[in-house]
Amino acid sequence: MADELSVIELIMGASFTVKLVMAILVAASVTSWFMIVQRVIILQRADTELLDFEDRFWSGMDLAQLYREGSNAIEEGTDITGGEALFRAGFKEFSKLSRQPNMDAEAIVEGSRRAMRVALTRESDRLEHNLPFLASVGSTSPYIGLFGTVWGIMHSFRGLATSSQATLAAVAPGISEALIATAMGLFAAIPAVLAYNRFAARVDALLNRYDAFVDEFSGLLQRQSYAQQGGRVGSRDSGVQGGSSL
Amino acid sequence: MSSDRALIIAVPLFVAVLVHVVFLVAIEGEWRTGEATVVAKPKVVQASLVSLNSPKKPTPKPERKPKKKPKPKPKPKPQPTTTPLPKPVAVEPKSPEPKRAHPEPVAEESSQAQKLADLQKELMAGLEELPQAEPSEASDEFDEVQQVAALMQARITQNWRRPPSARNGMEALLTISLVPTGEVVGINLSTSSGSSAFDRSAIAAVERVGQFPEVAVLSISDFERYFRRFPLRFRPEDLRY
Repeated sequence: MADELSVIELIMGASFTVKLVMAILVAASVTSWFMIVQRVIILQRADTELLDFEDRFWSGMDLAQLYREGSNAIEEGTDITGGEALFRAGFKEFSKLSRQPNMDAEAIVEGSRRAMRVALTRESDRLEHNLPFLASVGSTSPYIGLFGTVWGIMHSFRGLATSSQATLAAVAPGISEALIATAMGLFAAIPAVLAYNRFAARVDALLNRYDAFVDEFSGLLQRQSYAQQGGRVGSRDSGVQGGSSL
Repeated sequence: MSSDRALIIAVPLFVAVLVHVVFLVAIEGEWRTGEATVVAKPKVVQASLVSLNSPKKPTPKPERKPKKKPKPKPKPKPQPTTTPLPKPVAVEPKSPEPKRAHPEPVAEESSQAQKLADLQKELMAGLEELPQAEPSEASDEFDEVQQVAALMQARITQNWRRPPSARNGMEALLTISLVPTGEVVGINLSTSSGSSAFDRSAIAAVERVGQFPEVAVLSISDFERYFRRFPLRFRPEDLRY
C-alpha cells in the first residue's frame, strides 16, 4: 500500500466518469469564484458611486451643471452607472419634455419618471447579472459530486466482487477517491450559496436606494415643472393646483 | 475604461485561480502529513482482524471431542529445518518472539492470537515513537501474513462439511502444526465443541486440505512465528439456529 496517497494521485487514478464529474465541479468552482469576486467589486463600486453621487446631488449644485459634468465624463470614456445614470435619464427626459410647448406638468413628470424606471431596470440587470449562475452552482453541485461518489463506489465494489480476497485495502482507495467528488461538490456549493444570499441581499438594498432616489428626484422635478408652468401659464394655475393634489 | 474592464475580469480571475491553488496546496500538504496516521491505522485494524480471523479458522464446531487427536500437543518436533529458531515445537513455545520484549505466555492456543495482538501493540507503540519506516515495514510483513492466513482460511472453509447437528455458538479449537512446505503434520483438538460430530468434521476439514502451499511464500522466520503451530477455530456463524 502506497504510503503517499496524495490527492492528486487519487484523482488521477479515478475512473473516467468520476474524472469528468470532478472536472465539471472544478470548472464550476473556479467560475463561481470568478463571479463572486467580480460581484464583490461591482457591488462595492456601485455602493460608493451612489454615496458619492448623492453627495454631489444634494450639495445644492445646479442640476444642469451636474448633467453637463456627466456628459463630459462620457465623452472622456467613463461609464456612467448607478444613481447618476438614473439622474441622467430622468433629467434628459425632463428637459426634452419641458422644451415642448403645451406640455402639462403632470405629463412631464410622468415621462421622466418612466425614463428613470427604464434606467433602473437596466441597473438592476447589471447588478444581478450572474447571480442565477451562483444559485445553480449552489444547488446542483452537491448532487453532481454525489453522483461522482456513487459511481466511484459502485466501481470499487464491483472490483471487489471479482477478487478472491475481500480486504478493506482493496476498496478503501476507490472509496476515498470517490468521496473526493462529494468534497469538491460541497467545496463549490458552499461559497456559491453564501455569496448568492449575500449578493441578493445587497442588490436588494441597492435597488431600494435607487428607488428612493428616483422618488426624491421626481419630487424635485415635479416641483420644478409646476413652478415653470405656473410662471408660464398663470391662467391655468388653478387647474394645475388641482392636478397636484391628486 | 478598457483598463477598468480588464481589471474587472483579471482580478476575479486571478483571485479565483489563487483560491483553488492555495486550497489544493493546503490539502495536499495536510493530506501528506496526515497520511502516516491514516495508513498506520488501517494496518493496525487489519492486524486485529488477522488475529481474529486468520489464525483461527472460522466456523463450526462439532460436539464430541473425540476423534483423532493426532499428536497431542507436542508436535513431533516438526523438523525445525532451517529454522534459525530452534523452537522445538514441543512446548508450543512459539518461542518467545525474539523481537518482543516480553515472552509470550505459553498458553498454546492463544499463542498465535496473542502474538499478533502483541505485535499490534508493538506496532502502535512504534508508531508513536519510531520513524515511519519501521511501522510500514512491520506492517508489510503483517499484510503478507494476513494474506496467507486469509487464503488458508478460505481453503479450510471450502473443505469443511458441517454436520447437521452444528449450531451457532459451537466452537471447536484445533491446534495445527505445519512444516515449512505447508504440509499438515499435526492436528490436535485443544477445545472440543461438545459435539463429537462437529469436532470430527473440523478435523476432517483440515485433513482434507492436507497441505497449505501458501505458507511457502513466507520467510522462514515468519513461518516459525505464525504458522509452525497455530490455533484454528471452527465456529459456524451463518446458521439460522
